[in-house]
Amino acid sequence: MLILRMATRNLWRQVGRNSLSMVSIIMGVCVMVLGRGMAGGFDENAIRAQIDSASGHVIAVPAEFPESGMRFPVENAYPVTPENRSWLDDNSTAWTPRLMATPRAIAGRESMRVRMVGVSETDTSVFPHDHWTVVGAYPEPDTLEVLVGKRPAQLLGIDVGDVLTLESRTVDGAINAMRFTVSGVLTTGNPMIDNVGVFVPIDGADQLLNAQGRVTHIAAKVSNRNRNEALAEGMAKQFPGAEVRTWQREVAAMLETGEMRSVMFNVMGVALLLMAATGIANTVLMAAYERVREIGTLRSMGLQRSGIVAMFALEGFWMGTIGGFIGMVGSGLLNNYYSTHGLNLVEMMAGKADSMSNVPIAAMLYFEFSYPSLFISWGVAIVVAVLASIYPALSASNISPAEAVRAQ
Amino acid sequence: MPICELQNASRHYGDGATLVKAADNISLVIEKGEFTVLSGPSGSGKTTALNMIGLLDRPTSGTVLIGGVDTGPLNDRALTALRAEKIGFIFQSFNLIPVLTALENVELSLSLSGATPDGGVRKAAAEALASVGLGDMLDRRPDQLSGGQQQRVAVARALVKKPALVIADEPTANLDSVSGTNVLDLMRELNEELGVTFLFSTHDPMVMERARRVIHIKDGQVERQEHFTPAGQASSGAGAV
Repeated sequence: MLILRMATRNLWRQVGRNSLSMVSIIMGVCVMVLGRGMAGGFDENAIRAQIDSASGHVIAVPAEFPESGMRFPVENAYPVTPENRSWLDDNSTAWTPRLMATPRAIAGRESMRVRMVGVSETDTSVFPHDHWTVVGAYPEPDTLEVLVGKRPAQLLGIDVGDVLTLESRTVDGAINAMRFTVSGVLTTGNPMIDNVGVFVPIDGADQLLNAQGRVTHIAAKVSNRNRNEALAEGMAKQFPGAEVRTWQREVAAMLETGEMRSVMFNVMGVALLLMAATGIANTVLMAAYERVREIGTLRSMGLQRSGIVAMFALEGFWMGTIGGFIGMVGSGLLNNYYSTHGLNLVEMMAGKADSMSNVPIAAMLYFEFSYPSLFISWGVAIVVAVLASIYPALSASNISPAEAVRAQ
Repeated sequence: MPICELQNASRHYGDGATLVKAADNISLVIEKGEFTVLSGPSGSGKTTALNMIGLLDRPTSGTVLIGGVDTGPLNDRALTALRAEKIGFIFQSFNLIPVLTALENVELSLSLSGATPDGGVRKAAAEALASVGLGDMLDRRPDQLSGGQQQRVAVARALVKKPALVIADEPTANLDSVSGTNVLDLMRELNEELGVTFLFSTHDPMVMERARRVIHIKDGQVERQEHFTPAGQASSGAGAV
């Protein structure tokens, strides 16, 4: 008990030095907790972004329709019959058709290839626009209006009220071009939309592509995103010429990179804790050599070597416990805040998302918060601190008591 | 049976041209109740002899017996346990543990010895401090005590476990004459009244005046010894003592 008391009080003998060692522990724990929270959040963010902006819970697309890129073939667009509509009404909580293509957008002398999405009035029931910012207005149904992503608007030099020509092959392979009036400029924070997206009413897209009621996408949702197998099977029967994909399939590759991200953050956290460990080892070693006479006195009084090791290891334990606790509470509060309020990626990604046009990203990143993750990080900090203090503690215990009692 | 015995104990450092004989073939016996001084100039080997007697250091050759037990075959753990039980130390620089109070310093010594006094460790430690006149300073840290008071705590710390032998290395060297006299009188009193055995290392005349036996060490060897009767009469001898 007195050994514990001594180890605890010894912590206050070099407050500055010990505090610095604890700061490195705090940093390590913060990186581990926030890194894991962010990595977990990215996974959920990617899933939500995929569901809310690209696939819904289940989506039917023409066979071999590419998942990304700037060449969307329209020749395999498929019809939606009244029976299909009735079945979807009965078997999903929401569904919507889309007609997608990659026409050339022309404004004066400027042109670029864009991703055109023909949307119906039910589009927001599957693809919510919660974090969309529109300067101007959404296109009115049954008009030749277009909502243009922020970047195409910049590159083409167009604004609300200007005319944008869209040129595309039709479903028959002919070339067609139509003029649309810009109703608004769109910012979502999702680079897949902001960088190359334009939205038109589905009737306008139908005219441009001469689709005659056919669509390239039917996206639908169910009440529980994880119980979408029945919907997928049903849609496969309803649209036999189409390929039915679930959101799980669409995000599988991204989740794999998410696991790598999680591993990376853990490695960074552990690396920081190892740096902290060298700091602690140094701190305890210095303490041991400053207290040689004290060690000699304790040994002369009959304290075994194991007692000396325990005393210094306890000092490391306290540094790990206190530093780890502060790190856990601080990063836990921050993690909890971002798990409820989210981190606004729209602001963070502004102007930095040029190369992410094929990556769906939701506007808000909600961190993953878990108590086990917090306590594991705290535990790791304690273990690292104790292990780091073992070597200097052993060195201290090996000091000859005869020399130690007379040390200055 | 002697409390402690050195039999031809030597402690050498280095070898060849750098060989230093800090203690060379020392033989001496300490009986219960003695108040003995090892005296000699700096570097004479008295501290080395004390280290061997106090089990802080092992002889290069020869034997150290504590209570008749040959300590040569004992490992570090056993030596430490024997030291905790049988030997108390008083140091020149007091060597109190600065983060512990006076009471805790004494408690620690008692706890390490494994003794279980009636009324508990804390009560026994408080009584030990009271016996050296520090009953009202139990909760003071060493830096809140004077040099004389710190040395009294060290005396209480050494005596609380009722050791067979108390080794005091230059106990008055860092004290003013008044404090030194008080501490020495206290130790003499404990020796006479309780029969505590003291072995000093010093060349302080104040300590030598109170000694019953003075063993003079020179160049790592026992040069001679003097016995003093209570009346102050001396008789001398040489060799093994």
